[in-house]
Amino acid sequence: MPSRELISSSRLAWLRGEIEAWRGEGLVTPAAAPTIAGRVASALRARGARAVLYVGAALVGAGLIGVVASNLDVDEIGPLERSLLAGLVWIALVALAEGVRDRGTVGSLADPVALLAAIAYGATIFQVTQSLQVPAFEPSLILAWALGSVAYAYATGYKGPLVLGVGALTGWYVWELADRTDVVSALVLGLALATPLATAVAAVHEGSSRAHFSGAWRFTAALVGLGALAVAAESPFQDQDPSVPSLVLAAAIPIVVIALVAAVRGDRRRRIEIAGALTVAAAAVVLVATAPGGGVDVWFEEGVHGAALTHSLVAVGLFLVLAAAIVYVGVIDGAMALAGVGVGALVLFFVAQAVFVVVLSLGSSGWLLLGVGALLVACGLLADRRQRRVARP
Amino acid sequence: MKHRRLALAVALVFQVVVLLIVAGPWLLARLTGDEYRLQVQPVDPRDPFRGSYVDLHIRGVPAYSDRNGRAYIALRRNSDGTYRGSGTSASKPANGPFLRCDVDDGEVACGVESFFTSADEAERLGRVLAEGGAVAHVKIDGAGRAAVVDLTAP
Repeated sequence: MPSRELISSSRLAWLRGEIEAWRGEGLVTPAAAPTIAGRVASALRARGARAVLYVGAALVGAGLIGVVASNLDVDEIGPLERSLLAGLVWIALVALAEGVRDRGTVGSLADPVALLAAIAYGATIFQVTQSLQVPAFEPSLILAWALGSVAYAYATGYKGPLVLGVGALTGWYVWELADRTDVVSALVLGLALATPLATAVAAVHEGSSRAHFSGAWRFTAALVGLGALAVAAESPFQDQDPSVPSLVLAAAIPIVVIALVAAVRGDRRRRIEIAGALTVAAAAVVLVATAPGGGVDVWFEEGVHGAALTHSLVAVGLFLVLAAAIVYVGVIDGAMALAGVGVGALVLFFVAQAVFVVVLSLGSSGWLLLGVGALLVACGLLADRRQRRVARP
Repeated sequence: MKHRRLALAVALVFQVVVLLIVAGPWLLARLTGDEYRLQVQPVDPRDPFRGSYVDLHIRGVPAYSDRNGRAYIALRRNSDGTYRGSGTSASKPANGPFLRCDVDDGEVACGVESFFTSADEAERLGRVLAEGGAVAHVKIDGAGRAAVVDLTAP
C-alpha cells in the first residue's frame, strides 16, 4: 500500500470538502472517495505524535542514565549484575526497534525506540565503566557513546540515533577543545574548522540512501559556525601566549580538501552552502589573527575603542549575518530545526546584549530589538519572495 | 533485508569493541593484576552520568608534574602492609610494584582517582576518610595499569 502524503490540517479539510463535492457531481464514485481521502493525512497530527514519541523516548533514556547514576547499593545488586542488566536492556531495545519496524501502524515507533536503544548503549557504557571504577569525567566515554550511536544509525538508517550521536560527538569535541587549551583562539579555530567539515558531510548525503541524515549534519554545522563567531565576538583581545593545538592545525588542510571535493561533486545549492561554510571558517581565522593586543584588564580599565571596537563590531556583524543566513536557508528548505538555530542565535544575542552587555555597549534594548527584528523580517521577505518565484508555473 | 541485518550486526560488534577499548585498561588490571592496599585521602563530588563518587588521592603520588606524557610512580611498602607512592620516573622501575600514570596539562592521572558508590555511602566514606584517611584496594598488573576494587577504613 503506498505511504500516506502528509499535508497541513487546513489543506486536509479543504481536500475532504472537495472530495465530497466531486462525489456529489458524480466525478468520483462513492467507493473511490474514502480511498482518495485515505491517501493523505494531517502533517500536524503526524508530526505532533512523532514529537511526543521522541520526547518520551528521550525522557525514558534520561531515566535509564539516572538509574545508572543512582549507584544502587552493592547489597541490592552487584556491579557485574548491573552491567549485564544494562547490556540486556540495550540489546532488547535494538531488537524491539527491528521488530516494530515493518509492522504497519506501529512502524512509526521504530525510530523513537532506536533512539532509546542508542541512549541505552550510553547507559551501558556508563554502567560498565562505573563498575570498573574508571575515573570520573572521562571524555572518552562520551566519544565512545557518540561513535557507537553513529555506527548504529548508519547501519540501520534510523535518524534518532544519528541526532544523538552527532550531538554527543559535538559535545565531546567542544569539551576536548576547551580542556586541552587555555587560549580562546584555539577554541574559535577548532569550532570554525568543524563548520565546513560538517557542511561537506551533509552535502555528500544528498541523493544517497541516507539523504535524510543531511539535516542533522547541517544543524551541527550551523551550531559550531555560530559558536565560533560568538566566541570570537566575545574575545576581542589577542591571547598573550597564543598556542593552537597541533591537532587543529593538522586538521585544517584535509578538512578544506574534503569540503572542496564535496563542493565539486554536489549541485549548485550545495556548492553555495560549502562556500558559505568555508567563508565562516576563513572569517574566524582572520578575526583570531587580527585580534588587537592587550588583555581583558586593559579592556576593563581603558574601555574598548579604536581597533578593538572595530574588531568587535565586525565580529558581531558577521555573527548576525550568519544567523540570518541560517534562518533563510532553514525556511526555504522547510528545515524548521535549522531555522530555529538561527532564530535562537539572534534571540540569545539580544538577551546577552540587553541583559549582560556581553560585547561592548551596542545601544539600548529598544534599538537592539529593532535591529534583530528587522533582520528577521528581511529574512522572511527574501524567503517568501523565493518561494513565490519557485511556485510560479 | 539480509544486507541490513549484516550491517546491524557489524554495528553492534563495533559498539561492543568501542566499549571494550574505553574500559580495557581497567578490565585488564582487574583480570590480570595483583591486589595492593594503598593509603588514600578523599573528597565527595558527583559525575552527572555515573553518580556519586569519592575522589581519591594516593599518598606519595604528586598531583601535578612539570613534564607531560607517561610517568611511572614506584610504590613503597609501609610497616602496616599498605603502600604509598615513592618517586616518579619516565621509565618503568626495575623492581617492585608501580603505577602507570599520564600527565596531561601538568595533572597526574593514574586511573585510580575515583571510587563510585551510592550517594549516602559516598558521603559517609567522605566523612570517615576526612578524619583518618582510608585504604584503597587496587589491582595492578605488570604494566602498571590499576583499577580500584574496594575502599575501606584503615
